[in-house]
Amino acid sequence: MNVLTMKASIRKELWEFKKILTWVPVALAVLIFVIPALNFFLHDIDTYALFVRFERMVEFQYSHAAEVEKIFFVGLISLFAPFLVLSTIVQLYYFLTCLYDERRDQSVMFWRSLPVSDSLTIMSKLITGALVIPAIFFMVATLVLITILIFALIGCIVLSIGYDISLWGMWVSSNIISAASIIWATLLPLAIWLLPLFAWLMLASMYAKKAPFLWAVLPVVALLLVEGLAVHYLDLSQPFIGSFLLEYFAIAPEHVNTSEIATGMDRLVPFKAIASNIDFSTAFMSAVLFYATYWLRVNKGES
Amino acid sequence: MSPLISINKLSKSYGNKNVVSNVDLTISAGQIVGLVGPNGAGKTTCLQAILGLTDFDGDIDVLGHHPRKDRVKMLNDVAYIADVAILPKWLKVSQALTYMQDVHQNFDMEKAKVFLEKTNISLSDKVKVLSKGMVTQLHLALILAIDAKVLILDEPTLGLDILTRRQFYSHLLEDFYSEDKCIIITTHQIEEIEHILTDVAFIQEGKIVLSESAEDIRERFKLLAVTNEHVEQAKELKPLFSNSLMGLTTMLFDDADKDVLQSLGNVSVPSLADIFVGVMTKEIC
Repeated sequence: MNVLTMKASIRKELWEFKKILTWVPVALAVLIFVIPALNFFLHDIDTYALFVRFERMVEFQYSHAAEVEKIFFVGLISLFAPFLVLSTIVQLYYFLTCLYDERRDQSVMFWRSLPVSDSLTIMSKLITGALVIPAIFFMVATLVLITILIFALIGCIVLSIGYDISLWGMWVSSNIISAASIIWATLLPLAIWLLPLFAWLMLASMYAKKAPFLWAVLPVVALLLVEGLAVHYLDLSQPFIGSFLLEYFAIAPEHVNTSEIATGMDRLVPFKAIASNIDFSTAFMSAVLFYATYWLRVNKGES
Repeated sequence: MSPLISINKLSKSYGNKNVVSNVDLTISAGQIVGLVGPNGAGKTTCLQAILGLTDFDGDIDVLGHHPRKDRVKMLNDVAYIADVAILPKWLKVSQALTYMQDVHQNFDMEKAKVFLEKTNISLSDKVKVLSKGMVTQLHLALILAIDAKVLILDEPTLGLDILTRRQFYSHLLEDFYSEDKCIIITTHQIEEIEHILTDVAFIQEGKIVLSESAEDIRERFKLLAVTNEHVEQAKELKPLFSNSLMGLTTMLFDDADKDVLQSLGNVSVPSLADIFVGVMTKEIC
């Protein structure tokens, strides 16, 4: 596979979806700063209470270092979570339109007249949707984090020099880089876990002549309804497909190892909970759906 | 001269409908072939089969490559323009150039820029702000900057005004064509390109009904303008097509004796458009 062509193809996808990939995360980042700022300006701040809280934090940062680490990690997850949610919505939109739009505007004829294989095209769209898009959102989230940390640093300096309140222990206890790295590392298992869903949406995007969203949703709904009726009227124990989908896409509590929380490995729990859902069926379903998408791309006449 | 494209027994059907049947065509370097036919004759299907964009029965060899099995390698030396509006609206001109540079080993960005400098298209323009003619010019700039051996044009000037159409074909000859390349063009405006065609293939209902060099075709077919007194005599020679207007009848003959025709009226060389209409309608009066 030609690396330059792959890079060019991914860049082409980013050009096409440039507006949504720029403005959605930026708008969210702005909101993250604007809402607390509005809160700050619209409500009176009790400075005495604030300083009392800082004094307590001074003691807390040394006596409960492990707690500080947990609180920071939860805060980090809270910061990244809205970006992840929006990223997932954009990803779903991307996969539904990435093969449909170019057929609708007939540009597929132009792209396919160039020496780029269909397999590379599909692979580039997959990489863009599964990894590059969430990476862009995480990048913006990380920039927000860095900005917050810069404000925190300035705050620490002011408190330290002006008021003799030292919160520097917080920085040590928080393990900022390792916490952020763990969240970034979750991207890969997340992408693999959702691969069958992405592949299904790409197939709908490739197959649909109109309304790819309906092509993505209605067959699944119809299948579940038929299966539900069969279970009801044939007195079967439970719907196989329905249970399978429910189990696959659920982050079930049994996947979280409570002993790890006790031993301080709790920061890896989200990573492991997602990774535990990945199995043979992930690879099998994804492979079948991707091959079907590729086959349609190669064999479906577009003019 | 070895052929750049060989098509043997090309057939394609959609369900029970045969769109192309047993098409044989050989195109060598230096040839500019007009694939001419009415709507639905199978022109685009033929071109798509040559480009490997659709499956087919029969054999096609393009520069030693099988279009389906070896499509990517083949497309390094084959360029293609279909209709006009297939460049995506979101694409910027500069992005199109960069992308082509990255994916096409035979693309010359400087050549494309030089071509674009002759137009009103700026590198920062998006396709959506360009007129139809400008989109075609941009597409042409991208394609002409490819050092391709084979150029395939499917109705490339559809919907364009006559000035842009002429400009398109003049650029094609000046900036692309050379003796080691070949061009296949399908168009409805055959009269506009007949002066550049070296060969013509008429296709009707998926079959090639005539395939010869433009020179041979002009020698083979004759147009007779005959007055009413000789019409009946002329009809006995079985013209392909006849058209009466203001007391003068024009008849198209295939392989008729020039001396005999001259005794009946004025004989002239028909245009390809005349021959096309004659061959397609084949009234045999």
